[in-house]
Amino acid sequence: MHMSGRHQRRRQIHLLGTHGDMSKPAALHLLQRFVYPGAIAWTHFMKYVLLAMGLAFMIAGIFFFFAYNWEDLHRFVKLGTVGTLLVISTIVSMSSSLLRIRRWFLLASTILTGTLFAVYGQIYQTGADAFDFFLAWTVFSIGWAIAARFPFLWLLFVSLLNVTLLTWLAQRQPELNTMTAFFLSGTLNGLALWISLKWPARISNTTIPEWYLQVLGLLMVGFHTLSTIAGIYNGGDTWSYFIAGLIPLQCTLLLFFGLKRKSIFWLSILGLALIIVIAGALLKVSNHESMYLIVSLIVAGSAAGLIAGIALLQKRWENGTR
Amino acid sequence: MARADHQWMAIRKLVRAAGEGYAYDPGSLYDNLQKSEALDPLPLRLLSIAGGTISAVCFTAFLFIGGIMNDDLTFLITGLSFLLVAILMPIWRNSLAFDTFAVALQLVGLILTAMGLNQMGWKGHQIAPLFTSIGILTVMLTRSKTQTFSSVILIFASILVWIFDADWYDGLHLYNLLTVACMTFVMLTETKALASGGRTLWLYLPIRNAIIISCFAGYLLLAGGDRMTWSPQHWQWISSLPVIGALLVLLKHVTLELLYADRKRRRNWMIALLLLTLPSALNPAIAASLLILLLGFYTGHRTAFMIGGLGLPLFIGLWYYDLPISLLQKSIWMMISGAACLLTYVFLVFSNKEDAEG
Repeated sequence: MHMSGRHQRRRQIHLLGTHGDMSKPAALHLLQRFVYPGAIAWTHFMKYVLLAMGLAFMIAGIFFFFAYNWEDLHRFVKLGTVGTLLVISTIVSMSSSLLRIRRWFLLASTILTGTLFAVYGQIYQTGADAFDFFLAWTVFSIGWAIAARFPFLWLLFVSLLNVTLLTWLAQRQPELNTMTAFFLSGTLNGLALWISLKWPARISNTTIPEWYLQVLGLLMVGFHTLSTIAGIYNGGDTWSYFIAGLIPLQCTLLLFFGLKRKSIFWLSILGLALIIVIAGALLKVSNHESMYLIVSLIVAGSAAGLIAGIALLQKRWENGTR
Repeated sequence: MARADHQWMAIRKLVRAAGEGYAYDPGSLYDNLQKSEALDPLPLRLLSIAGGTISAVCFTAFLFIGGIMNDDLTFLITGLSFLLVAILMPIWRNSLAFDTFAVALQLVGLILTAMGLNQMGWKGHQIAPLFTSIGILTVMLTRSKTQTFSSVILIFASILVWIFDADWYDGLHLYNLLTVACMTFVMLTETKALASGGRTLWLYLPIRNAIIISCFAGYLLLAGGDRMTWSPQHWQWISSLPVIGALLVLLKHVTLELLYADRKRRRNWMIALLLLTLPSALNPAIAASLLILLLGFYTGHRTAFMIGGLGLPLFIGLWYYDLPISLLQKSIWMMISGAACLLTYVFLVFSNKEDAEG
């Protein structure tokens, strides 16, 4: 059973324990049947952990060993080592019959691609800055991100996209308004979220996990909040009115998405973002001590109200028929 | 509300599975389910902690900028009364929404009490035991799960403050021993908590989450503290001992309650698990996250599983920057551990095959 399904069962068993009289054997039986993994799952998991830890320690050991005498190595050895590892890992990821192994090795290949670029840049002093480096890494990861059907690889790819955009903003567009810069980052993650949801199922061929979407949502809402706060405190530029319209629009879309999905996560982060923005705006209006008192009361009150509302909604979703 | 709702169906299934071991009153069970809070209110708990914290910071700013209070006694009395109200509030009305106020009041109360005592000449390591006591008292009295969680965090955090403020860095080992022992005990006694019911069961989930986080924090300080002045410089391996002990306890549970293994297979599993702790001889944090991961998997606990899983790569990465040990030593140790794990893997695969054939 899936981890979150078990989580629900555990809560229900605890509810039973609270509202009735449960014997110890019954409790053990319920937990073992509905929450704890069985003997077969445990054996499989232990083997998996041993294999994963063995590989991880071996690779880390090799990595530490090369780092130890990195300075003394010839440049061909340096490039050759990373290159060979990249080739081996890619071959394994293509040839293995186990999907689980294929995915992890492809993730390793993606990381090694970046390492290869970094080593190359270090040896030949290409004059590339951080933006060039991350751009190259991102571009060369696109194919694998699409082919992999692996949320961890998607997450790495999205982080690369984010870092590329941020380094571009910092190094190539330093005069750009902060509000606009953060807005672009927020929109990038919003787009990534939208694409992840709309991506044709026959290509992705895997269920998109909730945590992956939630990370994207957090990044999107976080950057938009920063953008709004930056706009309030530093002022905007000609694009600001446009942005001031687009951020609420994106957030409203996210709100409807959350309601449709019947997940309180989205309502909670949007609500918290709104509270932070209101508090920031009020403190911009006045810095007087009484304003701090007012903001303190408003934040506590609105958070409490929001929680009460969402809790009511959640209870209704939970009790409602499917 | 129709009784055919799916939550009720799931509960009925569980009740049937429990059979004779569960005594209850069907009517009141249904009513209580309707009244109880939702099954997974984690985002709301985090929201109440975030809202409460922001509110508390603004309120403290108001007190300081306004200069409303300036003598130590006012600080102390106001702080203690805030703490009292924070405890009483959930008793008066307990809901997720009111937790926001409880968190805010508790935080402001703690800040003001600390300020007052500080102005009276108290040092951090003198204030910390008081805060530990406040935390314990709150856990004993509170009716709010969020407050239980934050108070257990407070208990362990103030123990850390006490250790570091007294410049007794080796005390971190004792802290780790304490948290590992508490965590293993709590995670492996869920059945007992369920059977005892009542307040013990009610406290169980928030306490468990808080202890897992506190345990992880101790090992994080141990692993990341090397570049700061405040880390135990010697005998890091001492913190591995409680982890190895806890792994053996876990192993006993697994082999007796899950695998029903005979002596030979018990021995095999013990060898496998002890080999996994090899890297811990130099780096206890890796072993600790392994323990959290395994405990999380064994009890089907999502949070522990994720914390342990994230901890492993994090601590291997942090170890790279661990200066007292040379890279060569670390490299050799890593490769030995890796080889040991892979050998054990092969051994397990073959011994299982043998069992299947025999």
